[in-house]
Amino acid sequence: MIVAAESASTLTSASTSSPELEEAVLAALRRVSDPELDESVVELGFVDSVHVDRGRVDIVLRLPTFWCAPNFAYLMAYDAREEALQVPGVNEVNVVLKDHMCSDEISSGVSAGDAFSAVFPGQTDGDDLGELRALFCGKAFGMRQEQLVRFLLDAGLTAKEVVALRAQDILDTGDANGLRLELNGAARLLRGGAPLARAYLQRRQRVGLDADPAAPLVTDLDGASIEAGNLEAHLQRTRRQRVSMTFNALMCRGLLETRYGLVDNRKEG
Amino acid sequence: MYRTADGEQVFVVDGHVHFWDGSPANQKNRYAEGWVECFYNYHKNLSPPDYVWPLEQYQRYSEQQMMKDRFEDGYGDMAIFQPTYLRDFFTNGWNTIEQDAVLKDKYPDKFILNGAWDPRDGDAGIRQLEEDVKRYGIKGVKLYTAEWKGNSKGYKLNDPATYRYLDKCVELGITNIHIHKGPTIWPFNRDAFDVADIDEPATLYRDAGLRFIIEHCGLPRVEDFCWIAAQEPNVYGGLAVVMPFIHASPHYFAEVMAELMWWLGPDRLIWSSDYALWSPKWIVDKFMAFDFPEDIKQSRGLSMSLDDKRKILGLNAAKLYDLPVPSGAGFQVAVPA
Repeated sequence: MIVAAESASTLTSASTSSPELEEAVLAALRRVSDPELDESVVELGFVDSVHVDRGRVDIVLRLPTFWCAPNFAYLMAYDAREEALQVPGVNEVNVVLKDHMCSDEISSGVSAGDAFSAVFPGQTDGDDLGELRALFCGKAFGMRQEQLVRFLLDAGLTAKEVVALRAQDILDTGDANGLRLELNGAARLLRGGAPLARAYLQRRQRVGLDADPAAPLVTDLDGASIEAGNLEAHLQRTRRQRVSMTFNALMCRGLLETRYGLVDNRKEG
Repeated sequence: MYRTADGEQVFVVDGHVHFWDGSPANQKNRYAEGWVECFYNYHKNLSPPDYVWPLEQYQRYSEQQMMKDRFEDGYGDMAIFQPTYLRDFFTNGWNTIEQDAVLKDKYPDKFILNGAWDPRDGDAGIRQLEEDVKRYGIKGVKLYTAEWKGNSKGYKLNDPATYRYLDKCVELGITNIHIHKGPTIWPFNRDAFDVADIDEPATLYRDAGLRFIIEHCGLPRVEDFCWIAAQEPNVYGGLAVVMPFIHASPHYFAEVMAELMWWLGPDRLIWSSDYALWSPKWIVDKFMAFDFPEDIKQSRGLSMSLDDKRKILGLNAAKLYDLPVPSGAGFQVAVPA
């Protein structure tokens, strides 16, 4: 059984535990993000414990407040189950959301694989939570783009050079020394930019803009390119999104720490 | 009154305070308990350690405590009560106009008493509003669109039922409509996640003189709030919940203030402590010492002058509520109507 390092939980288990499978499930949960914060639920400390017993996985999640929006909570719990089910050797996944106003409904609904609209009839508009997910994928795309573009401008690229970049000009984001890209026909290494580019490319793929390697790298959500003269105005819009998301992330981290007596490891950034 | 080292006076109006009863005796159910726990965690998480109270004190604090924190220690000239009823959770309500009126009666020069209404109360609510105006002379109301009421988990500001109440406000001379639009807590998908329902009423009731003060600036949807506020000159930002970040995450506080100053400017921001969520003294001290960091000054060309602070800390609220500002404590501010 994996218990969050800082957790005050005293759960113990006499049954068979599978440490390797638990690690694999935890790794899978890193791919689950809080849609509003665009950060992994593992990084955020939302995973209280993971326990695997003969292919059956029990995941306990916890959130910063009793009132955290049920639809976001449902999305995360649902995604956690989906990701855990992908891990080879896992046959069954139960998710428990603890200390929440809708703990029972969300835990039983998600564990049964039900849609949010089936568990909370009349509480959604349109297609279950798909629209909500898409909305926040778009915000995450904008936020990560702004961070990458600010980095590129700080690194000395002109607005004209930035908007002329194509997706295929990003040569390597896995290099520990920095971001390798092609600029004006020559390869350049920009120190420190690789994580920003990785994060952006992943969100760009998620909103479906990754089909054409020759497409412009920096676009609006519809894939339309930005003119150099409009880049600053475009960044101002995405900056407001980032301010909102980061503010919320700070709030959520702090409240989770306060609620569960965790170490204060809040960081600005 | 706050006095700077140079002897300048700053008139302080706290735009959002409570005198609540969250004691176990008043809690109806687990939602009440969850509500108090959540508030208490906000308080603990964002207050400097010296200002953190024990839970029992936080659940129900005394009149003496409030008068000391708010007015003796906290530089307060006046404070505005913003009632929040929550009768589905608390037997006698969380913070009702009757509870607040006890202090207003005792200290009439210190408090501005606001009311509250809920369009789901129908005719009875309209009658109650008329009575509250007659009895207390209220000029403002606090609305909580996410409040639970039986099976309903909230309402929207652009519901037809709401317009009936807004019409009533115009008729009764209630011009300040404070609306809670804050962090994502509840209810479900329907209206918790945006401030979009402010847009239409702000336009429709602009000529009738209604002002919409968005408490918590729509956090965490600052971008949506700024977008609406930039277009609607009768939309204001209430800084409750924004302010305490000045201690917990100062650079982010500066970034949010930069957005607000950029889009709304200093004439439409209303300072508040949200007492007893946070104690006012340290917030005023830190705000008076605040300046934008160099990176923001350079990239945005923004500044925060003493006169800007005067407007935010008191003069803007004074304008909304026709409060007498002592001579020497400011100037006549031109707040757009």
